[in-house]
Amino acid sequence: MTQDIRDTDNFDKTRKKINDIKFFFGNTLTSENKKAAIGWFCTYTPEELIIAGGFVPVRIFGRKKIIKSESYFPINFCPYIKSGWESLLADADNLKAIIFTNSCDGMRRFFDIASKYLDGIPSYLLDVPHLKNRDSRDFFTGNMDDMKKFIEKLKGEKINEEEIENAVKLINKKRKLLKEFSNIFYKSPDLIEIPAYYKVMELSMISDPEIFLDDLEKYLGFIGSIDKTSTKNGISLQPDQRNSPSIMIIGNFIAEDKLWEMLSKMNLKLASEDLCTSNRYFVKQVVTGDNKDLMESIAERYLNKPQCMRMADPGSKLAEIENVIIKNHIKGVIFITLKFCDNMLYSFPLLKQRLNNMGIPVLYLDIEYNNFSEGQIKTRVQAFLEML
Amino acid sequence: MYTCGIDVGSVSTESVILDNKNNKIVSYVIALTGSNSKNAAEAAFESSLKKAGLKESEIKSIVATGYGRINIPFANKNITEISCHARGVVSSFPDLKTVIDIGGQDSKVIKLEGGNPIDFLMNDKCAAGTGRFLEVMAKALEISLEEFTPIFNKTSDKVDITSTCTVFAESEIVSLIGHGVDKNKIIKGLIYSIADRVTTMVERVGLEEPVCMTGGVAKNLGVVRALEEKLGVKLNIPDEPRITGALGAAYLARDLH
Amino acid sequence: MGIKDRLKTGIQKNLNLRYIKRLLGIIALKPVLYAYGKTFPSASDKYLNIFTIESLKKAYSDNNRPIGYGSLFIPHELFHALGITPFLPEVMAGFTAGLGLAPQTLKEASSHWYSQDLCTFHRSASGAAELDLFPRPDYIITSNLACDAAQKSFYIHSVKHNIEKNFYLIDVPYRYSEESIRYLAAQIKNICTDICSKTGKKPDISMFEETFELSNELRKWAIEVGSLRKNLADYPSHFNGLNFILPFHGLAGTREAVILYKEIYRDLKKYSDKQCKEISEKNKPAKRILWLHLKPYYRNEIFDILYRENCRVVFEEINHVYWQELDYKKPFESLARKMLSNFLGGSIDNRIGVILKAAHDYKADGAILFSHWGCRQSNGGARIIKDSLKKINIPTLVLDGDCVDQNNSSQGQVKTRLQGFIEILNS
Ligand SMILES: Nc1ncnc2c1ncn2[C@@H]1O[C@H](COP(=O)(O)OP(=O)(O)OP(=O)(O)O)[C@@H](O)[C@H]1O
Ligand code: SF4
Ligand SMILES: [Mg+2]
Repeated sequence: MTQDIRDTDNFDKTRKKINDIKFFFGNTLTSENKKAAIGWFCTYTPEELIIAGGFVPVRIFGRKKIIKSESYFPINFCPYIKSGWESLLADADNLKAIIFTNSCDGMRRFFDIASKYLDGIPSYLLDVPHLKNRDSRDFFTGNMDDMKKFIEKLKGEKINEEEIENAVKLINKKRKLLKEFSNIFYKSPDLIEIPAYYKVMELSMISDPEIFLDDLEKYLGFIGSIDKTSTKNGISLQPDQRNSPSIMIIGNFIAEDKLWEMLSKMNLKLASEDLCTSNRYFVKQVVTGDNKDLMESIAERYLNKPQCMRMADPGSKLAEIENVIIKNHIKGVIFITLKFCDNMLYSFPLLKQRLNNMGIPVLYLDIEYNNFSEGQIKTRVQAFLEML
Repeated sequence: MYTCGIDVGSVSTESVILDNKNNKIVSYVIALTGSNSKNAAEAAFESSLKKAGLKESEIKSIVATGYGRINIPFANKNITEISCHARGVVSSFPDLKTVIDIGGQDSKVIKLEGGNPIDFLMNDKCAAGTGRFLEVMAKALEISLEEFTPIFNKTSDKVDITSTCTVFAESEIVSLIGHGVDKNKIIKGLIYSIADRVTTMVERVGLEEPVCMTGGVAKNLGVVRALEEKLGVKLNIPDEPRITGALGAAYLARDLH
Repeated sequence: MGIKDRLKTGIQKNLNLRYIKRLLGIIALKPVLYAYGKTFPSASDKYLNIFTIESLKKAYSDNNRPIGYGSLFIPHELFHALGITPFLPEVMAGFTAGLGLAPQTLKEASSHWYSQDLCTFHRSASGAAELDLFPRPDYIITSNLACDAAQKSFYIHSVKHNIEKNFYLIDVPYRYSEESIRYLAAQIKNICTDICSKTGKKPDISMFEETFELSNELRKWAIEVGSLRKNLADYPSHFNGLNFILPFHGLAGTREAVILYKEIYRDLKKYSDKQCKEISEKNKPAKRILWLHLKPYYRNEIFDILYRENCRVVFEEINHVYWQELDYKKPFESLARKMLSNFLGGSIDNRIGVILKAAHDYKADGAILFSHWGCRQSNGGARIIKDSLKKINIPTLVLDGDCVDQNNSSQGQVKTRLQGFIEILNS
């Protein structure tokens, strides 16, 4: 009995430490950027090319209260875009350039607005196909070549094969470690809390990859060291034994600290995700081969990574989700979308149907960005969990 | 010679009689519109005549404006609030560039050039950012509209109201009260949230000074202060901001000849 | 009650596929149809309605299989060349508005979890599909051109009818370049080959010959209409250039579309000849309005108000002929070029170019951008469009509303905005 109490104590201490992201990612958080940054938005942006050009890819999270931006976009328009624009209006000077993608109607217009009203900072739009086949891969490879030229112009010289290779290695490693980290998170929700998890995700997208990787490796090392001693002090990285339901979260650009905090206090286990701010970013490696074209390999990775609802084939997306649900014994799905995201909204009728057939309940939420109204959402999530 | 302007708004109806010789307001009346806009217009017109000591036949022409403008058979012409507010303000502020009118159901921003409207924007279909929003919230908080200003002035802190929709904001407030949050801070937060909404509209049309604010909400000095803070400009307010539309209509009635 | 109102109430009360088929069976009988055609004030309106009904009749009768659902911006020449009867759900959504069915179809869509924030053209069409009001498709061809909505909502149609294998998305690139044309042409070719292998038709470029010839003919007449309108000072009150979407897109490549555009030309020509005499007597020339995006397809006052207030819509952006002649010897490349020339694709500069040129050519005094709720691609460009027109001193009204859902805006608000804008034009 006493043993237990001491262990719990110890566990709490360790847990507190593990969730102290500021401590573990101190370098990432404090180091001054030595290299110039290039902003990006969509997970279809090949970061490799930015890195190969000697720049730091920094994902724009917005997080600014939407005021000025409102006058550039309609009321019913993607709030992530609006808030991204707000932050570009405020401090785009920190960026050398911005890469947009042809991911959806909203982004297309965002690029137009930035090209017209943002003086002095070059913007580029990468055309990303909607299909996944050889032709589209070749087409995308060509588009990436074009983007490479844009970066070369910024760099002032050509990007060579080796630079790209190194960038691929670096990002592949980041992906691998993030994957490891997420597996630990899914399996041991008692250990890593939801806000900490997403904080790491965010850092992975906005920081110098080398510094971040350094921190992440040490962090994972620490987590691993607990694992080894787990039998001694009762801390376990084994699948969690609570009987809270395993939830999958499906969404778009969800980066809502208040939401994560709210969820972490609720009786659920986040066992799987499908988000632009997480797995869609890091899952799937670039596979290079001796007689494979490097750019082509990169193109292949992006077109075949966990796909966004914008891609042409909702059927394979649904199958992808179905597999994940079965594999991870998911008991319920939280579908959470930023308002006015057409691709997400259109994906829901079929998803709902499919989940109904599987007997998996789903909760539909649409939210603004960075303006979380907890009261409403909490009641709904709570009711949903009670129902499970 | 006299002309008359009648503004039949969603909340209030105003009638203004203008002496065309010296451009002086002979009389004006502010009344509630109620459920029958035609009756409200007639009643306002008659009592403004009475106040001025004039007969109907002495009024040369009448222009109706406001959302009820179409339904006034005795008016010679109907002209939108946009032109009327523009005309109404330039009499007091001739080189004005921007007008912000916040009434009961509509808020609008009008851009002027040489006294003429060149662009305008009205709120979208929801009531956030209008006088109605404040009325609903006042009810939920059990205070009167007149109390907003003193509370705003004496409260230093505010709570952020995140919901922009009237319905959700109301329930947010109810839950804040339920959590024991200071009512005054909620009120201040509300005033800022309406100022945010209006600022957005002004941004959409583009802010140019000098700026003037009209309509019933211009009576709410809390909103005026918050708006001045957000926009970073001083707002000119006519002596009686609520009659601006009707006054403009009276001028435009004069211009009919 | 006129024949139109009888039609409306009939279908409102009997909203089912059987009734629609029966109704089309009766009204599409030649004598009835031509009697119906006579109720319209002009030859162009008459043919528009006749051809629309005939094309619906075709799509709804099972003797004309295969039937293909096509989204608005795919080249429908493809269907005509392949011998597929086209059916356009988005245009049907316009009809649901016109016939007063949208409240029912939209409600149905909501109950199937289509969000209220989505474009009502697609929502209403999806609701109609869920109510089983549409004929069963054999093929579905759609694209990401102009907006994201079609590719997504049409896929759901394919699931409903279990024909995911016959669902084709034409992935239209962002930029007009030779690589883009190659990528796109290859897709169109693959679709043709695949469909031919399913229908047993021999893929052969000769099948494009007649269709392309007719399509080019339509193009020619549409350009003629445009040139005529550049100098037209007045219009008959019944003319509305936003009514011809079906022939302009869905019937491109048919004889009917050619006949119709010839009639539009004749109608306007007749009017302009007559008008030459009268115009000198009129003292105040009308204000010339350039119309951007679409309009409400339910009964509304917008165009009556404009007409009454002496404003004339002198051109509609959607009637701009953006493509070059098609060459049947290079069918896939031709169609690829047509799609890539669409000014709603790619950068907003494409659209701005068309708008500014039209404002100049048609001597516009003002522009009205009908801001259809839920149309991200069009509304997202409103700010740039307005600023660009302002630079050439043309004021723009961004008029909020909904093309299909009449309950999504208040008539009073629309009226005030419209009237306020007209006052500005006249000041
Ligand atoms: N004394 C006051 N103090 C504070 N607020 C006031 C006062 N009087 C009126 N208001 C506000 O003004 C609003 C009504 O404004 P106004 O009379 O200009 O509306 P209206 O012209 O009838 O409406 P609309 O122009 O939208 O049709 C009320 O909703 C209220 O919020
Ligand atoms: S109105 Fe806009 S969103 Fe709707 S179908 Fe047309 S282009 Fe797409
Ligand atoms: Mg008013």
